[in-house]
Amino acid sequence: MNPLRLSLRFPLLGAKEGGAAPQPFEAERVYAAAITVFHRFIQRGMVEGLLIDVADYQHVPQGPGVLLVGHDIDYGISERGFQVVRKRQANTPAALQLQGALRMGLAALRALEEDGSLGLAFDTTNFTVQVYDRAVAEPAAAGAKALEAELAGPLTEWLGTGATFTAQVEDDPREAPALQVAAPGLSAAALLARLGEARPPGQSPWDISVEALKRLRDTGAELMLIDVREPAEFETVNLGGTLVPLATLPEKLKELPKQAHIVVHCKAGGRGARAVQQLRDAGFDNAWNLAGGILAWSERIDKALPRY
Amino acid sequence: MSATSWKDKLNGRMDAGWAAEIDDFEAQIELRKQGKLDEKAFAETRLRRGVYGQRYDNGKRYDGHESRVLAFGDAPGKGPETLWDAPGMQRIKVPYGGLSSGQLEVLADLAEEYSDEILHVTTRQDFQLHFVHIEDTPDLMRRLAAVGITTREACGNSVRNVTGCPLAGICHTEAFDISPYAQALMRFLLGHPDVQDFGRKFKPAFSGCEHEACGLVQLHDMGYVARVQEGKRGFKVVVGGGLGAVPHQAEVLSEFTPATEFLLETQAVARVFARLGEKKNRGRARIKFLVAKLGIEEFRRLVREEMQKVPHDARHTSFMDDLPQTENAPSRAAAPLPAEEHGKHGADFENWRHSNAAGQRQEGYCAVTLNLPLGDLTSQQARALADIARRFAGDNIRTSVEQNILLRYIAEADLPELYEALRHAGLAAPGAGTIVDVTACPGTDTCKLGIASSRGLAGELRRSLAAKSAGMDQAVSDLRIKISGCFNSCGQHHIADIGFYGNSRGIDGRRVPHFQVVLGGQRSENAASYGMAMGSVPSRRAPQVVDALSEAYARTRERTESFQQWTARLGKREVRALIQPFMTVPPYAEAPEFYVDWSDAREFTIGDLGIGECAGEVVSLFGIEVMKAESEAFDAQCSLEEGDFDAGEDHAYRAMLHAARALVRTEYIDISEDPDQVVQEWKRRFFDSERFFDRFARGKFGQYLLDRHANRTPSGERNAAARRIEEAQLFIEAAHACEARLAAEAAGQASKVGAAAQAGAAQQAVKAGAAGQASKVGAREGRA
Repeated sequence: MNPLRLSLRFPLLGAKEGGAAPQPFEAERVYAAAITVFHRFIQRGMVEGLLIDVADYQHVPQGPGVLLVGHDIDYGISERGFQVVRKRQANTPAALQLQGALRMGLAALRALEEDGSLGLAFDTTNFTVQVYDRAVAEPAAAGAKALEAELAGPLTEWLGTGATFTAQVEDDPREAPALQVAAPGLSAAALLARLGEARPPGQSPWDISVEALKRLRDTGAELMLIDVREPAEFETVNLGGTLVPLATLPEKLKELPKQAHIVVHCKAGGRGARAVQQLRDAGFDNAWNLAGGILAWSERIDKALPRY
Repeated sequence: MSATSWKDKLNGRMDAGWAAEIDDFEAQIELRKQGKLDEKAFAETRLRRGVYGQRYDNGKRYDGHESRVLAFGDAPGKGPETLWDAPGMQRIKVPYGGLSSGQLEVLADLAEEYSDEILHVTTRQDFQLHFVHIEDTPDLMRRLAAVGITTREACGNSVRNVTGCPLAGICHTEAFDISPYAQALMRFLLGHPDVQDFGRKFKPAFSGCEHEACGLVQLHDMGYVARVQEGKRGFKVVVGGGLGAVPHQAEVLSEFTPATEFLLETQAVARVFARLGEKKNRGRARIKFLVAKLGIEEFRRLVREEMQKVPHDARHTSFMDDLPQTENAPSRAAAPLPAEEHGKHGADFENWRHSNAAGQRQEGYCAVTLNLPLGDLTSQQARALADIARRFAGDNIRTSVEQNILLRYIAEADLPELYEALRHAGLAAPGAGTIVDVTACPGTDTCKLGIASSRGLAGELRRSLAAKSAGMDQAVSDLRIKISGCFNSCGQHHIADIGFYGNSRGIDGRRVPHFQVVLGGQRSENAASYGMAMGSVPSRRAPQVVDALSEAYARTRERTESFQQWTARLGKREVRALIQPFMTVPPYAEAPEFYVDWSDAREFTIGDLGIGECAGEVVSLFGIEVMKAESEAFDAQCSLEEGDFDAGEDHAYRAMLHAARALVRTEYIDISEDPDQVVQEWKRRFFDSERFFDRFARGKFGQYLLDRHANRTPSGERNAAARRIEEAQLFIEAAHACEARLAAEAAGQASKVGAAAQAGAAQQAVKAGAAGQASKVGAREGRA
């Protein structure tokens, strides 16, 4: 089955702080934070997809909340949970669409968690898969059975044999089919690694991945790339950044514009982490460290670059 | 289930003509994709099928820091500056707002599969879906066609949706039910050869009676008010109304046109409009301009003459023998709510019933309004609503121009049960038709023309007013708020008690989202008078303006005085004084939130071109001069109010002169105040060079000054004077916009020069990297 749209929904785990009892959903605060963080995702290319705009539907009861609308994927935050809708992949089988949606959705959840401003956690061990395409998918219970038959295999491969599947039984013939997936004890990070989205251990609280930097460069973002390595390293290979060896950074601080979008990088991320800490301490609120440094770039983006 | 394409699945279930048209459209999409069809021709084709562009479809978007390219790829465009893969809006026509449950269920499916699961009801009773890809539209249209809905002529220069009072058939004051006639007109005109050659769109509307607001016929290109004469049904027919930038009241074409002649008469109007209406200048192409130009007597003579020439067509009268079925039988027998049940269902129910349910002409039944927030509902809600309509409302749903939904023929005894069902679906918001029931066009959310966030403001007002509604004065509660994202009035701000339209002002070297406050409009009598602009306030303060006005109204109104009467009694100067305290904007350093629009996190900018907001000293020069223009425009309104039309027109002309001079002074500081010299310099520098033109309206607003300067003879008539004052306000807005564009260009050049100077020495930075950034930021700091 090659559906027009495939949706994945992770329910709300409840507010992160305050112990076991889930806090009430503070709609006004959460949605204001969601609007801000989604705009930030677009600005910094922090999640996958061709991202277009943020749509605010918080006024609609039981509605989609706040959406980050993209060309090939939508991300949504609402009382119903965190939802990703994969779209415009109609030449791709559902299992592959699901793989992409899981990878992109979990990576976005990780980005949300790292951002921290939402103050919500979502349950990644329980999620619902739906396909929205009545031309190819039977609705309701019958469709859910078909969905299980098609997706249980690949899902077990990714989630492990502990995963269980429940085809929706509620039989409103108008509803898109839904498959409930439970994978108790599943680690989102481990699953992401299996789906090819492993992340090097965090080097600073303000890491940016080489993929995100690539996206920013491709969309013509105006950013300042600062190379904090030594001149000899720069001679060997560079990404076209401005050379400011780490030791000389303190004296350069006052020459740099405070609001500038800055990405610093070194060879593998260590010096960059120290540089970004200095920048942040000095009030540069839009400064980031390229996680994995130029090595990660040469491994994952431009394999032609010499390594040293 | 072997067929997997909608074309095959629905084969035989669509009207054959409609199906063939959709196939043609699909073929045109394919041809355009291969670059074999002209871009402009394709754009008009898709518009005529309701396939609209949407904000950012030129592939550029300001992200709060800078303008970014949306990498949609390089397929041939859908139209000029409209990228193929960029999502668009699909408008779906719903004649007289009438739908069945089955039709609503299809809309719910479409929203889920092709859009963002939101169904949006418009101020013209249409539905709109946003973020739709053009390649999905043929299937979308097929699925609609299979349930008798077309999107044909939902946009483009043709006959748009035929609207009608949603209470038709159940209303206490109507002459008769207009719904079948609205349906007949829609069918007759759909794709008719005589409506294909208009210079601009044409919007018809029906009303069952003269005095209520529901039909709003006075603001339509052509309006029909039901009348019965000597036992025969017919219509009072009006023509040439319209909101838009400069609103016109429609004029009476015929006091009574028998129903057997109204299609013929409409066809004649269409032919006259197609033949004599303006074609080149979009800004003057609506029929209102033709009627104003010819005068209604001459226009009427031409229509009468044309009626003689229209070839005989049996359909002109044959529909009468077989009036379209527009009303289903009620689901339930009429029954009043038993007396012992009164007050038994809780305060929330009573509150909802008070505002959202109204008795019908038919005893024991009532009509219930669903107060949709900003006109939106989800696919899930739509399915729940379809069930509810089948169960309680005779399978009958009507959309309204207030962006709500009406359920009719609800047995009063069913109200508690209905309320529970609606509440369960999240559709039982109280306050229909009250101050919390705010109307708003899409604005900057999705519209390419939006300047400020009409929906963001509407959402904020809805939230804050609902919280206060408990102890609210009834007179305040009854006020209506309507918001448009720009002067084009899709939110119908001209007919609100408190209307707003978006604009922007340059302050502290940045742009600040603003709303012009429009007061004194009237909905009743089918929208009999339009409000006037009172002054522009920053978006952030708009809720305070609502509070201040409603508080003053509640405190100082005389007994039954309406809001319009109250503002008229106070006079413009005093009303303006109420708004004045909210017109100021604190500096960026003190209150940066003023520089961000509602429901957004990005620093504000005008347009989606991502114009960087920079300006030098010119701001102050321009600002001082343009303030004189604003104050002249205000004096113009005061004169109009005092009945001195000639003085009003003179002030309006002077307001435009000041605004033009403000622009000229940014380049030629010693310009005299001599009108001839001001107009000459402004024309040479800004109009002839097209620097004054905006992307959509082109030279429309500039022409206002040239026309007035060439001919200073006052019209001596209220409506014409009011229009000229409105034009002056628009000219001022255009001057603001022009200044913003020029300042942005200047800033862009400065940063380029800075970048070039450093390019040789600097390390090559990422794209437009460090050097450009530094000089841009430097320019901003230099200004502060």
